[in-house]
Amino acid sequence: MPDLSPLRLQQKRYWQKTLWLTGTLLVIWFLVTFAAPFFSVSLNEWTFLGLPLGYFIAAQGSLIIYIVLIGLYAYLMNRLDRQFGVDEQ
Amino acid sequence: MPNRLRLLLGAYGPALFVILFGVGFTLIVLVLAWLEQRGLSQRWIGYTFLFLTLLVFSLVGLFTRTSDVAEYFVAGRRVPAVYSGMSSGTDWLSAASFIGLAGALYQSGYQGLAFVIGWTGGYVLLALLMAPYLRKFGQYTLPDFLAARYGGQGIRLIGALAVILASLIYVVAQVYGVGLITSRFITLQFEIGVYLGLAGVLVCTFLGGMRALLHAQAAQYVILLIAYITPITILSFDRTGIPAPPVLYAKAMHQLVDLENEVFNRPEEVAVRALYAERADRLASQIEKLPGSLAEERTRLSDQIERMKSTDASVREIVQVERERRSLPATPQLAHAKWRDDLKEARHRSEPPVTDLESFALPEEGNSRANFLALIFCLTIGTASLPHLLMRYYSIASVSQARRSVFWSLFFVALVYLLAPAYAVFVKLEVLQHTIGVPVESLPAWVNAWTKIGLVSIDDINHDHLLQWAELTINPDVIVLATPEIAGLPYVISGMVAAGGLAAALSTAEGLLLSITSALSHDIYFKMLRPDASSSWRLIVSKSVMVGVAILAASIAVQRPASIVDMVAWAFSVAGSALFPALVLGVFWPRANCAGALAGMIAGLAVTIFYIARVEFDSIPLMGWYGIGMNPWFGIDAAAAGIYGVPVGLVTNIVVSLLTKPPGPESQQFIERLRYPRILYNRDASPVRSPDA
Repeated sequence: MPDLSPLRLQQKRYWQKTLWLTGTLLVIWFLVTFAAPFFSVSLNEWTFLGLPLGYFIAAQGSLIIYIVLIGLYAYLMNRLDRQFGVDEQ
Repeated sequence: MPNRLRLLLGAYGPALFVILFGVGFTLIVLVLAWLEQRGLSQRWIGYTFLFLTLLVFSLVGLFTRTSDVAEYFVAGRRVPAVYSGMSSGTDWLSAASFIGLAGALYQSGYQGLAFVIGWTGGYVLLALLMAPYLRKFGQYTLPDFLAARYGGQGIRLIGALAVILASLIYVVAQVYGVGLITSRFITLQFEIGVYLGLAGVLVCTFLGGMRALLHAQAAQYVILLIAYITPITILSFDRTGIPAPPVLYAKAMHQLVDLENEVFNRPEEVAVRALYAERADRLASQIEKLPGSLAEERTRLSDQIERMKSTDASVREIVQVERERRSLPATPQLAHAKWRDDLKEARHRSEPPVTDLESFALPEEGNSRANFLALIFCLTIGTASLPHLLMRYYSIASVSQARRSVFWSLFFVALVYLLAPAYAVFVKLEVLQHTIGVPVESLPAWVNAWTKIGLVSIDDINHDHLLQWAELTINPDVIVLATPEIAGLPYVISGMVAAGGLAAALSTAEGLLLSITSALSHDIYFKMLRPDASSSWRLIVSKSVMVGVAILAASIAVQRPASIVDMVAWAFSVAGSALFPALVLGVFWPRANCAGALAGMIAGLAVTIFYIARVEFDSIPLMGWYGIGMNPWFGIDAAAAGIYGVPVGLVTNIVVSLLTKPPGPESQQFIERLRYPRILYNRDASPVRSPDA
């Protein structure tokens, strides 16, 4: 029996937004984690802070991006919770 | 008034504790430095640091002792995000991170960065796919989650076994690290050091469980961070005049690469590598001609000794050949295993070394790139499925706090990881400048000290009495611990680094012991065997199980099965291939059912264990298996076994789930509950906040 009550729809919308956010961040994550090392030889032609870019991304850049991704996720999700009124009080 | 005081302490207590502890630790280091100048012996500095570290954990354990089940396993679920982030960051920073990471970078340059990317990248998966949902579920253990989602005791049992296996491999690596540190710094026997360290861990977790862990680990983080930052900052200030090594090591890096290019192409280095290539060829043909070649080798050495005795060779040389003859393996099976290892090593030494900035330049570029990416894959997936880390998120106050806590956790971890490349660069520079080309007799003192406990070895293959790069083997686990000595810093700094390494190894061991214990006592004993056990009896069982597991881990560690980083990588592959598919599909794919999850977990686990066992070991004497070694599939190392295990587990889970009946309505409801931090029972139009929710 399909449940079409407004509350149900609201919850569906919340979950879709969650999936969207998770998906987008995971795509960025994938690029940094797998694509950047894969192309590191070509990336090394540029330099950043005196180090070849490919090396820098692997050694320090990726780490900083991960922290930003997680921070962003926490901030946006907690905001989403409040918008949809599903946050714990 | 006392009430207000308690409130104030409740809010700022954790921060106050961390700050006070940091100040206290710094003061003790300064006092010891002063005493060292007054002639305090190195041995006593070592003892002071060791007992200080152990004392802190025991005291914390004593003050936070508890016999309440919820307090014991999940610290009452009211821990603020920053504090739990710091504490679970310490849980995460193991001996492998503290001791092993910089060593891996030293040994393999860019290739070692797979650990940095993998260990931190996994946190993103943890934050996005696991932590909030586990917190929402909010029970005690991972098998609890699996059993609730898929239903049935079978999945609980397999889940508990996977948790135990992964944690046990991991805890052995930590305990091994403890043995390493104590045997070098307070010259205890390796075995005694192992048991002593475990005793300290036990006192803490034994009494207070997760609650003690939280506070002990916050204190350990302070020790760890100070110990990791100080030596490298002094070293970089001394060599470059810049006291900010983590970001500004670029100049030293270029200096290092120039030096590497010069050293690695010296004619004597090329000659030494050719000698190793010869040795490798000889070993390969010997392995092929087994069992005859073993007897042949024995006669050859005997003849050589006879010949040397008849000419007037020096006694020392004769003794050396005799020792070589004595160390020949006793049986052809043992010879196969030993020569296979020797062959690997000789091949490795015969290859021209890679400079630190080259990515993927080893013999076949494609192969080393594939290994790099495969290792990252295993480490990220493993990070997001390691039970001792996931368990932490049960102890947090709310879902939104859980999300923040992952952020803080990675933040505190990153402070250490950002420094690791600098360690590798500065230490390698020192080693190249001060040991290569130096007469073997007049090497710096640290080489001797570490040779004594078997972690540095020198093999003068061309008998020129000078050290070449290819002749020097430094076990990567030595790098961080030896940095103060290599840089010529006072011994108190060495002691401090040792204390940091101990804190890292012990804190992780505590978390792992707790996760093994809860799998055994909560899942297997309480949920499966004796559901009617009283809660005080459950705690007694879990505490006795913990002692048993600790002794088991120590007795495996004293066998020295493999290097720290290897063991840790296996634990990641095991955890990832068994648990990751079942957990992620459990949250995001409602169609996954019990049969699928069970089949997937078993298949993934089986593939991973099979691959590690056969690629890494040629014989497992305990089981009576010999000659089981196989060539890796597509040249992927055993460390990245999860690259086969995880996909197999995932596909099996999906295929079997689709072939069998969809799960019942209970598990649909279960997933619904997981998705929303707060369920709206109000069936009215708009989701208005209701005060009683």
